[in-house]
Amino acid sequence: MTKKRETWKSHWGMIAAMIGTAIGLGNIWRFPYLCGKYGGASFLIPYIILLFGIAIFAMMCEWVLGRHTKREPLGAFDKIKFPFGRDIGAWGVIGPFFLYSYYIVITSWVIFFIFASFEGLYFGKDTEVYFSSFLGSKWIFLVHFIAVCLTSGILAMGVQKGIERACKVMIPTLFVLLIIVAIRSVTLPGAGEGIEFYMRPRWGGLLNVETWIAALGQVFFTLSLGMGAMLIYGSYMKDEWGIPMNALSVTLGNTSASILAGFAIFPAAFALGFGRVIGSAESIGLTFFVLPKVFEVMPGGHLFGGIFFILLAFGAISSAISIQEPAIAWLKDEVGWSRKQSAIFTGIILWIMGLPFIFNGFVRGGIGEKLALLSKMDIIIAQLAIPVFGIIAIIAVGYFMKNRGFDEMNKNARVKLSHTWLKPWIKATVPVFIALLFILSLLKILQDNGIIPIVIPASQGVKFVSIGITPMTILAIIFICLIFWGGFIYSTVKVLTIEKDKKGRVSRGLHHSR
Amino acid sequence: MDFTILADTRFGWAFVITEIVLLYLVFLVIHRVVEKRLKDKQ
Repeated sequence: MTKKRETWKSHWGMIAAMIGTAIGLGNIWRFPYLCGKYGGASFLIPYIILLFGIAIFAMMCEWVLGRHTKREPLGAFDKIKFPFGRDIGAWGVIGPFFLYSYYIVITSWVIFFIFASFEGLYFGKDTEVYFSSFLGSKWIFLVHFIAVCLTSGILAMGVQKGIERACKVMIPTLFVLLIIVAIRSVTLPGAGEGIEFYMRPRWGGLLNVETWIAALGQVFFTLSLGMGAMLIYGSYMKDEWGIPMNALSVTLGNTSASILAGFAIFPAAFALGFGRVIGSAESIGLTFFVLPKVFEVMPGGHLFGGIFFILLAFGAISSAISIQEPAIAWLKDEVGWSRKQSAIFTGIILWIMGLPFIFNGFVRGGIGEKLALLSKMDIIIAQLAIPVFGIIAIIAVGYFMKNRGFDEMNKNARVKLSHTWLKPWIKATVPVFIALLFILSLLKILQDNGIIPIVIPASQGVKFVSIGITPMTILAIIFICLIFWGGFIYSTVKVLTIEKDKKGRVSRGLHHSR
Repeated sequence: MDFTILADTRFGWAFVITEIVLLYLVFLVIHRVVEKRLKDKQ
């Protein structure tokens, strides 16, 4: 007798979990930065094209692979008889371990900064020095341990009682908190310049090759593709849920959070005199040096700083659990361990794997030295390994599952995608675009490390000069809100209504009448 | 303890690449063993 495989309990729970996987640290700290740097609202044009043209199909392919095989990555590639399927699928189980090992370290910094903000520990101090000294303190061990226990604990409770329940609480709360911080930010006196920096279209960015590379990179990584997470979550999807509309809902929900994050960050930073600093700060610098300075001078900064880091922690934890899950699923499905045993075992391994990044923080020197190991692992995993695994998953669906894959994509879907264009799109266009991203990333890494001469000239982005909020900026904001927030609400309500309608038909005995 | 070596560029790359390759291979071996045991049981 085979054991019954776990599935999502409710449709809304599945959407929350999928959005939880997609929303991570990159949404809050990377998207707004890219938007501001590469031309404000005009950055969204390549972003929208690549999001709906490329990334959403890559995500659907991972869902198809998971749902069709009902297996973890290793079993999934093996089941469709992909060449070297077990070896390649093994990367879908072990690869996320490397990502998790440093991602959870960053998550633990976020958790610490929740308390640091509420207590005002960094107030009145040089935030860079404060962050640097925190990396070499005993607290990092404690918060790292707490973060690993949190994700392992959630996963030990199971798909429905653990992942689904946690995401159902964390994701709506994240949106509510983000809205609160954004409202606070845009209502500060002088917030207009920040909104202008973030949203005024500066068309020069569109002609910049680096803008398109940045947009392609962002859409791919923002949906947590190529790391086995979407594949394993797809394997818990029920057959009666159509894939295309759910993919649309998750994609729009993920981007809605990114856009909201920009409204939470830029207006406050510009209003409180950190506009020029924030415009040039990226990722870690933005989150742990600049934003704490903003919260320090913001009225009610203790509270809003704490809230901001709570929502950031929710995004990070919801992503981290999806990265840990493929290994747990493998231990459960293939080795026959219980979920609790698997969660504890993977938790211990992952905790140990995170220690070198923590010890690196004790090195004397600047932030660069303290994060040297972490940045190297990030380059290999996020910039090189993830696109490769992503392309392989698409090739597996396009070339090895063939019609089974395309039929699975349209199974029980109200909005069906025509095979006429879907096949060439998934077989050729999507993998070619991602391969292009991979090659460009590789070239950039090689040139940055002085291995090859400069082939991609460094861009300084699009310079921002304030001209005051124009009707163009207001139009851009309305357009963006309509596309992403309106689209997210509409598509989510639509898929949930379809589900309700189907249940109603079944209970009235009308399910054969269609 | 002195962890200065972790910030060294060459050591850093060597450490990261070795860790990835080694764990991947170890995992492949474990999987083969698990698979063989399952087959034997059947």
